[in-house]
Amino acid sequence: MGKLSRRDFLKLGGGALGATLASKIISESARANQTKKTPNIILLICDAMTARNLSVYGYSRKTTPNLEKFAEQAFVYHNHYANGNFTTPGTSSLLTGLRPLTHRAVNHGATIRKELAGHNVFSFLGNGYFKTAYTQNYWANYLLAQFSSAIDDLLPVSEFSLLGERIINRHFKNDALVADRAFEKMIYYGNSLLLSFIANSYFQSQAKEISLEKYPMGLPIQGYPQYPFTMEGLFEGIKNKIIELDALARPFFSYFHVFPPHHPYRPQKDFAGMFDNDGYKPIEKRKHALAHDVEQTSLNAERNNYDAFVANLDSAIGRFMEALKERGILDRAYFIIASDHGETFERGMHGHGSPLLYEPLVRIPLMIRAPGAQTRRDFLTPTNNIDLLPTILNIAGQKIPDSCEGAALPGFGGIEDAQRGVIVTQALESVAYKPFTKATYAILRGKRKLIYYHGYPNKYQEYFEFYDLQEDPEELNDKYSQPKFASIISNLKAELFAAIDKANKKL
Amino acid sequence: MSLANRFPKSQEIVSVYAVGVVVLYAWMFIFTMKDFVNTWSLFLNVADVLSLFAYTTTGAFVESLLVIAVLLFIHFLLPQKITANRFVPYGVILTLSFLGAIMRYYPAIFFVIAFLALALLSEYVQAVRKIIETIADRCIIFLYVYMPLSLVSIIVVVVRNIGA
Repeated sequence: MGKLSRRDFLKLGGGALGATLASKIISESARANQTKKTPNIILLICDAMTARNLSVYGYSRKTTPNLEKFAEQAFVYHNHYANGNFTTPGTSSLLTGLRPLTHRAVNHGATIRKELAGHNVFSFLGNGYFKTAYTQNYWANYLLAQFSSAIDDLLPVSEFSLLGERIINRHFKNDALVADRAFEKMIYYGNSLLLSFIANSYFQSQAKEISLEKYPMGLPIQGYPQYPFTMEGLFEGIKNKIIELDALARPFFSYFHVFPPHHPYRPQKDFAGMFDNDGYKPIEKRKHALAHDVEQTSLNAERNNYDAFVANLDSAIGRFMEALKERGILDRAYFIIASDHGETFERGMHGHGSPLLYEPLVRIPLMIRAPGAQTRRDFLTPTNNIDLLPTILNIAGQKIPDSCEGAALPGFGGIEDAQRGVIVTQALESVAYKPFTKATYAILRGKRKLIYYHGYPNKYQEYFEFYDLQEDPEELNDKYSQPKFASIISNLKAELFAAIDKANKKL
Repeated sequence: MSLANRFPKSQEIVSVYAVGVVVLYAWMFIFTMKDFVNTWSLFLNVADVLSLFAYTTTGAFVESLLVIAVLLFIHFLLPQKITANRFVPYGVILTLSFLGAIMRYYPAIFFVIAFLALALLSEYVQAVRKIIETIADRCIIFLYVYMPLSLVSIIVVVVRNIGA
């Protein structure tokens, strides 16, 4: 036998790999014909989508006609809250079923406490489910990287972008979490002067090649890294992935976390400017001392673009749903739509992640459609994102671990508990693993909401606000000093401080 | 004529390389330290932070090699009549102008003008040329710190990526 050349070796290796993959696909497809006993679960997270700006939740602008249609066959949660006001704490709570006080992922791009790394929806679902995860949001991707050992198919951030696969996913697989963070800083934040210049010049040249005719405000980008993508391409990619998953023998759980409608708001031509001259006037609210001091005219312009981007997203989701429905996939899957946090255009604040915890920043959509559902049900009691993990486990027929801080949602094994407190935390500037020195907390019970500022300058060193959302949904009248609320305020404070103390004792 | 004659002397290469290293590593350290103070120190442990420094230092090392490689390539392409005894002043001016331009604190045209002005001055004013050569020479001292650091960083990056 002659010597095996390098080329022969590669051919042989490639052939063997191809055969292995092919046999795996064939066997999975063959088994797919068998009936799945447990349902598929599709979780779609739309980043920075506040319930306040969705017509499905009563917003006067028609931003979400397709979600309204979806809601007609779904369970709709009207007072659903994120547990943080930006990606890291919001997504961490959603995936772990733990409050930020416990998981401590509270800083920009942080991950959860290492000893809790196994406390996530992917681990708890176990091997009975095929688990796929994808996010366009870099910070959410750090969390997925932390949970990667429990995920069967973790797609790279760039998967459905226009620039293809990234270097990190190919060459730094064994150290993805640290490499990802380093490359983000080096390339996208410019810590490496020359490498960032080369990479960004390349991205810009690639983006220029793509026609801007359809996107007059520029192509949507994924924040950091600034990969451009199209709304159609994104949902086409996700749809194809779901079709692929649906063919598997095992039931699947898929987590798709898309960047829209997160800033920058860049809707397609048909949606850009659609709300610019509709006469809508948002209620003007006094600037908050801890906000960014943005003028109301700028906030209104940003709101118009955001609403148009939401409408664009809604349209894409509508088409995506139709495609899944046509293939019967929605009859075999629970479909959950939610967000990781909200977005605000008031009180001098644009965006999210500030010390503020008003409704637009934390009240988010949640709709769940069961397989083949035809009717709608509405729930008004407060729920929060830490309830998603127990709910998903209930749907999957799995035991809910005692360590979970959320509860199964009403309609999915849980009860409507109007007395239950929902806690939201913002501690962006605090050291994660010590008692927070600068933080904002909000606790909600029924329609009552207490906000507690701690460690900020001036009066916000220790400061409380209290709102009755039933009478004052816009949070215009702080009723903290009104004697008739003293008792409920005292109860809310006791519950909040008990939760903070309990979490601090575990540090 | 041998190929070696198309390149500058090793001492000249090291001088120009050192200037690039000083700028690139300083930039990298300032911004990485800023990240450390503002965010990483809030939630990352020491091992993770050191690993991140290892990646960024390796990145800076790659950048410094790119800069010197481009300069050598330009030197190689241009006729010797033009490049003879000019590698250090022109290499330093080009490095500083280019890196200054991509920092984007000032418009790129500012650096084009600066490059042309310094190039002309170094051509006709001996003192300017001398100053540039002295600066480049002094920068070599930084290589004694940065090169071992880069070597350790590369080893750290490689080790973290080896294995299953």
